[in-house]
Amino acid sequence: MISINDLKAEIDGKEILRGINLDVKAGEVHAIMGPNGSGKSTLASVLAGREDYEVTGGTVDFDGEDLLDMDPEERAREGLFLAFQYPVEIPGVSNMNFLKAALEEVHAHKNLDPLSAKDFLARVREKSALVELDSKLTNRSVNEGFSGGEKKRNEIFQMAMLEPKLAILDETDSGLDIDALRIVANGVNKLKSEKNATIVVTHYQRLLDYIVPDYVHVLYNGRIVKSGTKELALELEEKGYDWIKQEVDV
Amino acid sequence: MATIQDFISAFKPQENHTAVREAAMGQLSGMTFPNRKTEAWKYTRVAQLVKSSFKDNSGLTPAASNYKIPELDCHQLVFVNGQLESNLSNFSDQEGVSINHLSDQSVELNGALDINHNVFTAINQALFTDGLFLNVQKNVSAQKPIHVVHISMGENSGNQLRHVINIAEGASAELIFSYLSEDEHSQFNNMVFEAQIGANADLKVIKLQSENGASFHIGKDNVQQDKDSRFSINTLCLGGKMIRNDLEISVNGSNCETVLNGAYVCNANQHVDNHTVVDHKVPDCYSNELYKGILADQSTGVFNGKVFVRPDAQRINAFQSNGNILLSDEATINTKPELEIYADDVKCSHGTTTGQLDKDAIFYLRARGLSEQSAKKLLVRAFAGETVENISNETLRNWAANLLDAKFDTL
Ligand SMILES: Nc1ncnc2c1ncn2[C@@H]1O[C@H](COP(=O)(O)OP(=O)(O)OP(=O)(O)O)[C@@H](O)[C@H]1O
Ligand SMILES: [Mg+2]
Repeated sequence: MISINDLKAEIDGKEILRGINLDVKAGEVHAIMGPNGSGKSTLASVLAGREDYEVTGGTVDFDGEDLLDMDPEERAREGLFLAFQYPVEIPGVSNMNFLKAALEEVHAHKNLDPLSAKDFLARVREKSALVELDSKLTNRSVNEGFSGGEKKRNEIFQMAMLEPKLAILDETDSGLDIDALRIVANGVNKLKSEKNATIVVTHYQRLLDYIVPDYVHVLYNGRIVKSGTKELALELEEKGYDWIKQEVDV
Repeated sequence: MATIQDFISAFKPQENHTAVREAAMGQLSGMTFPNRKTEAWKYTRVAQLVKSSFKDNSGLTPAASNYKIPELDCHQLVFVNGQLESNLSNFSDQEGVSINHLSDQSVELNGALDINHNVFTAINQALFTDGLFLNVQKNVSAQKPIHVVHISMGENSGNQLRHVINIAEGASAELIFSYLSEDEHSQFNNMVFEAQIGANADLKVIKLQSENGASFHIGKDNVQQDKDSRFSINTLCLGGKMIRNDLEISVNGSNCETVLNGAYVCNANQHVDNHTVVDHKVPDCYSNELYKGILADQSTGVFNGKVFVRPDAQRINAFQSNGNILLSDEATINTKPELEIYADDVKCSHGTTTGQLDKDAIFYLRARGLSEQSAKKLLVRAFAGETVENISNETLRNWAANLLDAKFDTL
């Protein structure tokens, strides 16, 4: 699905990603953990195409295509989805209008028939129920005045609407109470299939009880310094990152 | 600098309404065109306009003949280069609603408009060729909106219309003014609109300025509100090389409501200047003004909104806001809200903002599959769309939103 090879990126001349290697296959769930500032969101942003970052080396293959050569919208239309750590509030742009426009452009890109108004609404109803997002919120301006938890649910709602091949969830669990966490995780699990893949960035092993990862990676100082199975997350929860830092810094 | 005499020499003297014309001519002899020292015209230069040779250009017939607003059931008056074109027009009186035009022999103007040192108003008053003459009688509602279409065509056409509106006590009407160019020649619209709104009467105006990018528009809108009346106007400045609008509202009676909304969406080298005055002379009134500007390329915008609250005008609620988005480094805006308050028990506020589109929002939308162009359009629409939301007639509201959208597509 996605194959990241020695990816390096910097912002304002400061190197943040220092050679990331990661392979994610269809059907898999990968968790990326790591201390604050290690570059997790940077990796997610670079994959989604944020132009503030300059890619200085490496390659990313996304289902046979050169991901780094695509505009952000092309990546999205090809099936890459980023659930933002900090979703932006966009006053005056209604959630519905924006999702409708997004789906229209995605469908046009894939040469699919446009979704009828009726089908669109049916899909909104189905998917918002999945993440228990109040219909009042779907009609409001994008994220405006949403609580932290509502914003995260709105991200997963959008993901459900767009049905991506690869979803990257950047700390979608942070700030969620246990009920909201269960709802969000449940939504993600329902969308999981043999054909798509998920990368979850998280600080908390708690999430991984609900979204069970096939692999866990530790990102530190711009590199993946350790990979393992879900037991690694438990170990990190217990021991923190110092032992890994020591291993690396030696 | 060109002299006023040179400038007006190509306009045909008019035979009717001689008293107002002579008075205006008299005033003109002591006036000069505004220059960079004229405070009210500080940011809007008229040199290029006044050195052009605009003229009456009658006898031309436009090829396109449908200026209708889709699905709108309305009266329509089409003025081509300042002359009423009856073949393209379609209007009729309703009991208590008289729709006429100033060049009709039966029309008598009672009183001249206060020229208020505005040269172009004086020129219009001296030389206007025609204009809507609307009278709505006491307690009558004009059932259909009245759409006044202005078509400019041909080289150097200078069009001067004066629209005179009288809404009697308890009456109501809705007017739409559309300004269009039939070709790409440089033209000049010098327009005056004056309305008397009687006690407890209601007037709604929508002004849609869509001339070609080589044309000039100078507009003076003067509105007098009697007690308990309501006035609202939505001005969309979309086309034209240069637009200067002077919108003046005198609130002469208490318990009035005044709502001014405007949007200017400019690109290339467009220059759009909106000057507004709301003069609260009496107590217990409400006014709300919202203007939004989107400026791309090398375009320039000017907003100058004055609100006066006279000494006895207590308990006034007056709000004013002007927001701008600059889409390029070369675009500029000069914005100046002015509150002059001489009463003490009032609630007034004003504010201006100028900024760029939110980059994070653009990225967020693109990350969901929207092209950069549509992401920007959504944001621009979210920003400026507010200025047409209060249009109560749904067909008209959609039409105004469509015109905005069509302009956004060109940015
Ligand atoms: N615009 C910027 N200019 C300079 N440095 C930046 C900028 N954005 C991020 N950084 C730096 O890049 C590093 C990686 O940040 P990033 O947000 O990717 O970390 P993270 O692993 O997601 O952290 P967290 O767990 O706190 O979310 C940090 O040191 C951060 O300060
Ligand atoms: Mg982060």
